[in-house]
Amino acid sequence: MLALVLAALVTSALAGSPAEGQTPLDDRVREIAAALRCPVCQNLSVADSPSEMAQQMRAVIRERLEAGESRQEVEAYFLSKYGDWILLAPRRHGFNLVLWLGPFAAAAAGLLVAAYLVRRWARRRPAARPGATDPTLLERVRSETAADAAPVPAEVFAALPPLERERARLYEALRELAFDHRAGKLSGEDYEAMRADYEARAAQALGDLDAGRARDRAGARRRSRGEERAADSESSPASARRRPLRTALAGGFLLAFGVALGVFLVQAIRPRASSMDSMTGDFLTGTGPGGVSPTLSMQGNALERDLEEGRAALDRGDLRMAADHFKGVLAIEPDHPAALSSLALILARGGHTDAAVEAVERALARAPDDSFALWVNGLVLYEAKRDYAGAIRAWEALLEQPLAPDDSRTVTQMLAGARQRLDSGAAAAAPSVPVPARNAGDSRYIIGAVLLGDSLRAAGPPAGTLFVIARRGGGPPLAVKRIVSPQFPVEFSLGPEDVMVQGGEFRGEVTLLARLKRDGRAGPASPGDLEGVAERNPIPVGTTGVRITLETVR
Amino acid sequence: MWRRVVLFVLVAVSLLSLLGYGFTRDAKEIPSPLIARPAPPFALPRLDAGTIALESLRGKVVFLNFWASWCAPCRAEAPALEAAWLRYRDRDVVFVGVDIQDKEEDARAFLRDFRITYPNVRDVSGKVAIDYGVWGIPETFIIDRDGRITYKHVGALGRATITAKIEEALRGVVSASEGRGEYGATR
Repeated sequence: MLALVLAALVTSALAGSPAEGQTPLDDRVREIAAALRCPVCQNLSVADSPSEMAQQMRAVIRERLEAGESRQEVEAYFLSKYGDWILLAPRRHGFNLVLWLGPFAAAAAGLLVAAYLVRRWARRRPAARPGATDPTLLERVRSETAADAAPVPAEVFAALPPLERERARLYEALRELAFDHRAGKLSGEDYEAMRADYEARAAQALGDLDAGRARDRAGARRRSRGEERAADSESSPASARRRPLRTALAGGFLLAFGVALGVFLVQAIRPRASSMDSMTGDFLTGTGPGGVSPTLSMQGNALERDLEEGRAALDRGDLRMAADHFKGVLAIEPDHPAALSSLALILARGGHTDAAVEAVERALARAPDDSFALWVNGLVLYEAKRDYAGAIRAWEALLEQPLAPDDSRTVTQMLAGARQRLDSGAAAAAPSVPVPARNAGDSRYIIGAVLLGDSLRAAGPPAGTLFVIARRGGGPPLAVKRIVSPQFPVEFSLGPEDVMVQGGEFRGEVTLLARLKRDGRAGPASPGDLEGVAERNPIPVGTTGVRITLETVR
Repeated sequence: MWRRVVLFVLVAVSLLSLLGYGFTRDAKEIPSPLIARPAPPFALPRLDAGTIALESLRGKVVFLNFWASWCAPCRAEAPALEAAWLRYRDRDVVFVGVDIQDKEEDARAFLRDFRITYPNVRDVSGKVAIDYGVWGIPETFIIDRDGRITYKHVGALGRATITAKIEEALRGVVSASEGRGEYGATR
């Protein structure tokens, strides 16, 4: 029974190993993929990368292996498509040899330098300790320890220079050793060995002390900085002269290195704007700040220049030149608020009132708080449209923006003027609506007027943008007419040029709806918008005299 | 003594210039070995209907543009490409867009949004993209009448470059190096 279970386990284990999903082909795919660099990633192999590109590359490897290609052939394929870049390990030829041999060469050079320095130091060390066991010094140690038997008081000891302190400590130790030996705490053998050791060290200290005194006498200002270096400088005076130069060179190199590193790092490395951005870049690699290409930043410069020159031309009163420059700006950035507002000003002066209103509204749609756009909006409405209520609204919004005191005063004056005009019976002076006569009698158009319902008229002239929308059945808008800041009653014409749907034809019967959008934007109605439908829907194209009355408030 | 100084300066300058050289390189850029080589052949299904085989376009200059709907620089260059196509369509120049790493409905929406009228194909497996060594997006290859790649551009193209490089390809001129604009990495 047990044997059976064991046999079952063994067979299942045997069957299990290839069933993991690791076929020999998988291994070969992995092996090749591991040597290829993923084009999308930072330092990941095609085998390790989860990216779509790497997945597709693994599929290509598999397919080529299945077709009977060798590893070399598969690698050669990728090399022919992506070049040497695709190999994680660069090939060993040409400039790549620097990569392969450089580290080894550097390590070897470092080892050589280290070996040379160690040998130089090793040679100097014994010379720096002349006569460790000079017999005359040993003799002096013995006589001196025998002579001053009293231990040095602690405060005197603390005040001694280091070498003197070392000597005093060793003398003290020797005296204690002798005491212990006399007291029978140390065997004769141990005592001799330890005494010899201490005496040798004391003799060394004495020798160093003498050398130090000799230096002091010679007038060398240098404090004892450690025995070897002192001895070193004494033994080879030439190296002492070379040191400042060497120090200066090393310092200069360090400084240059630091400056170069600082400059290049700051210039070349930037936070990645996105996962697709490269970390290095800017002036060195030709990508502009923030990963923007030089062409784009050049466009940015062109934009600034056009804007500047446009303003200058406008100041000079050269409207044509100014308009050209602002159009240049808009070609690069179609919704540039300042350019749109300036263009609106030019259009209004040229009598193209509606186009002016439309331009400035586009500017405001992009930047609702733009001071210049608000100012121009008010001016266009006030001077060209005589829409004093609209101008007042624009300038009131402008006054909520931070303004220079002079500007603020000007706006306040203009605002006062607009209010006065509005009060002095603007209603009586309301201009009659121009009839879109150009399309009258054309059977491709629907012509009519949008009126304001009685209940709504009491609230005063409503502001916003009027959309007259034609639909076929219940579908999406077929054609839309947009009338900015309408003065009711307003005439409209809908025709082929208003068709919104690509390839749609304006014919047959349509249902008409008018909607006054407070926010001026196309789209479904929002609360506060006014709506009305044509009196006789559906209406065949070619009808004139259609009346739409705005009656409902959404 | 002076030999030491000279040696030191030499070593320092060479190390610093190596460092400087490293900083001038964009590690992500993959120089293409394909310029002046025959364009890898392909036959891919069109997004509308039918198939396009590169072989069938031999004798014409082919403007081959790899794109994806999610790629911002592709959107940026789309109007310029369509405008160029309208200018060159009658001059033996064919534009072919290759949609890679994309959803089919997104790709269709892209073509609709930019009113692209030149033929576009879909490379679902990414094989053709790998065949052309694509790594950034958009990438454009210009192929002359003999089926040879005359120019490669990584990143968004502008009107001036498109015109210049197509004119060169019409005359069979091979560019010395590839061009670069704003690009995104493939996925």
